[in-house]
Amino acid sequence: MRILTVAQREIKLGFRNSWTYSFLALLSIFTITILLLQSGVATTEGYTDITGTVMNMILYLLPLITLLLGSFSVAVEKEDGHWGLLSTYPISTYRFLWGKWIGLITILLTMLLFSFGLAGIITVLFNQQLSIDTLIFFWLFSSILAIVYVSIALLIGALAKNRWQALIGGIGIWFLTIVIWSLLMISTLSHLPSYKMIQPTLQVLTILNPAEFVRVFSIMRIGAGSAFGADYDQWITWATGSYGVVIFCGICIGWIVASIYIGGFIWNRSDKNGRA
Amino acid sequence: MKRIITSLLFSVLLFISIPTHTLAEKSIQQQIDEATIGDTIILTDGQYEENIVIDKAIKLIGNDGVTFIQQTSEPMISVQANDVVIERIKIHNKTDYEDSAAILLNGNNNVLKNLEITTNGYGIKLDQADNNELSHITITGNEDTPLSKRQHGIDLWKSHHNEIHHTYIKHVKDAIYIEHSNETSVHHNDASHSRYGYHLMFTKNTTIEHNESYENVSGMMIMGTNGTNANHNSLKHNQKNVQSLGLLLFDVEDATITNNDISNNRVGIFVESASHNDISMNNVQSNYIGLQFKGAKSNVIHHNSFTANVVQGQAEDSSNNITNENYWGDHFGFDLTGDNVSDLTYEVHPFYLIVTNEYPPFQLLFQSPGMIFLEQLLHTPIEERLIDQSPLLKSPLHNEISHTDHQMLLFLFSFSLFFISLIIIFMGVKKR
Repeated sequence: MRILTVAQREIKLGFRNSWTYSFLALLSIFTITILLLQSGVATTEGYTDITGTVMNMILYLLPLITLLLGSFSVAVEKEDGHWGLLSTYPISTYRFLWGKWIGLITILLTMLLFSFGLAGIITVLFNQQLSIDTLIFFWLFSSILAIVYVSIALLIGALAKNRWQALIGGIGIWFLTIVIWSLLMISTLSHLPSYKMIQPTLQVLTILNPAEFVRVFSIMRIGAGSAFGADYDQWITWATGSYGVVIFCGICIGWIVASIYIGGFIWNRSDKNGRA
Repeated sequence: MKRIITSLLFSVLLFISIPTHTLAEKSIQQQIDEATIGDTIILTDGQYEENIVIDKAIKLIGNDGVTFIQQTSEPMISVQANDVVIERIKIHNKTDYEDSAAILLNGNNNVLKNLEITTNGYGIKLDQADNNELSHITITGNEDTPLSKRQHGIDLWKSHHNEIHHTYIKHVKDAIYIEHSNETSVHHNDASHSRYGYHLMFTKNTTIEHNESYENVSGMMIMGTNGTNANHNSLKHNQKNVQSLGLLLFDVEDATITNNDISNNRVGIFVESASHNDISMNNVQSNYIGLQFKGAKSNVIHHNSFTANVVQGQAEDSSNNITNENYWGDHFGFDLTGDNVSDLTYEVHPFYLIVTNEYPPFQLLFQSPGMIFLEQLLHTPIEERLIDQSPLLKSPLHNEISHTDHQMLLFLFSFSLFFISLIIIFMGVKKR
């Protein structure tokens, strides 16, 4: 069974699933409202309040939707016994997860195309100020977030035995990487034995948190890296440099590949243990 | 006998040399030396390589073809007298001497006008020179030199009552640097691509109006001054450096800052250890941080417009500043009495600032979604917050909303996104 067959099946199931459409509606309503809620200043130039607000709103909502859709998609297969049937075909868990990943990405990116397209049309109709660069920036930002978070969602799905575990795992990761991340960082890192350790530790941890990594990199790419202060001068230099995008893509791909292979590996093992 | 021969020989030599010398054109220095007070020396087109010293009240007038090439560390033109006029000349400093100045002024009541200077060192230096007027001057530094090795465009030291206007300065350290100098008037200047646009140190009663400062590390740095008037200046796009500021007031007293346009900077207005300043009618827009206080007291900030800043304001150790009656773009007010003043107070949480002050590395969490959640969660004492008790509901400034003219393009782009998504959904559902 080929990866593409799994992907096609995923796309078909996805677009026939009412959940997809409820998330689509939620995402669209929310994108439209935040783009309409502007302070009367054209968002043509870089990093402003509206850019910051929209980025944060996207960070709150999109990873959660992605994590739930993705982890459920795998957990359901296990719970409903589809996987038991499918595994009689010669297909590895890795291939299955890659297929799922391609399928889910197609669905999520389509949802983002739909909601940003609709939001763009509506802002024009309402005569609101929005520059095309800003819209493209938001769209790319969301797409990258979705692509990375889908792989984490699949990892959660691969680890979960049923929907409930997937739900808890998804919400847990969302809560950890988005909601309490700052609190966690500030409260733990300020107790490090040496002050000098804070910055390198925070940098490493930021790379390990896709939401923060994508956010920080995006802000640096729109030329607003100086907002992070003097300590991150070097980061700004590489992020805005010619290899910045390559390194960024490399780390994102690293995230995706690691999540899927770890997920596939653990799933394999638990399958074998289950049969034994 | 020997002496007679020598003097004879000398006079013969002198006799031979005189006619040849008079045939050649006189050097500028010679012309200056021979001139009397009030004379005008008109320079003919050409390149000059001699350093000159002006020690009497004369006029030195060039035209578009007059270029001085500076090759030593001495000032190209040194003015040691009063009432000197220098007009329409170009100075090109080719040397690597960082300390060299194209023009050095030590006298009073001099006029420098229509000059064009390119330099690796200082442009124009005023050292204990009063009542001079510098206008219509272009100074360009070397773009490839790092900021730390550049020098100031115009540098004033202990020089009072000078007027600097209509200058265009770029690629230098500080475009206009004024230290220990009083009653200076700086207006209609343009400073860019330098460290600081305008830098005041320990000055009194400086007036700085209608100037522009953009794409510098910082727009305008006002430090240790008294009675500064900064009005109608435009400080924009000073944001690329991690230290960038639009306007800094450090240890400043009794300054009046009004009607300035401060946009797209890293920090719009930074007020540190300053007191009794009046900041009003400024447009503070699209900065990462709009207004920041640190150890500032008894300043009055009113009738300013704060819009589209990522963070509107931050305050620390700055309890008794008055920040009422400003317009905040993100404030959704409520007006019961119909006086266009909101009955709800506007507050800015200082949590981020407190944390990052103690641990600067946490600045990486700037505007992180969890940070906003934290600010809502944690209660900070009311006296540490930046509060506007009576925020305005309408901007006190005549804000023209700039219209983006790519609306059609935006529409087409959005429509194509939307259309592609519909096709994918349709194909997805239809598939076998």
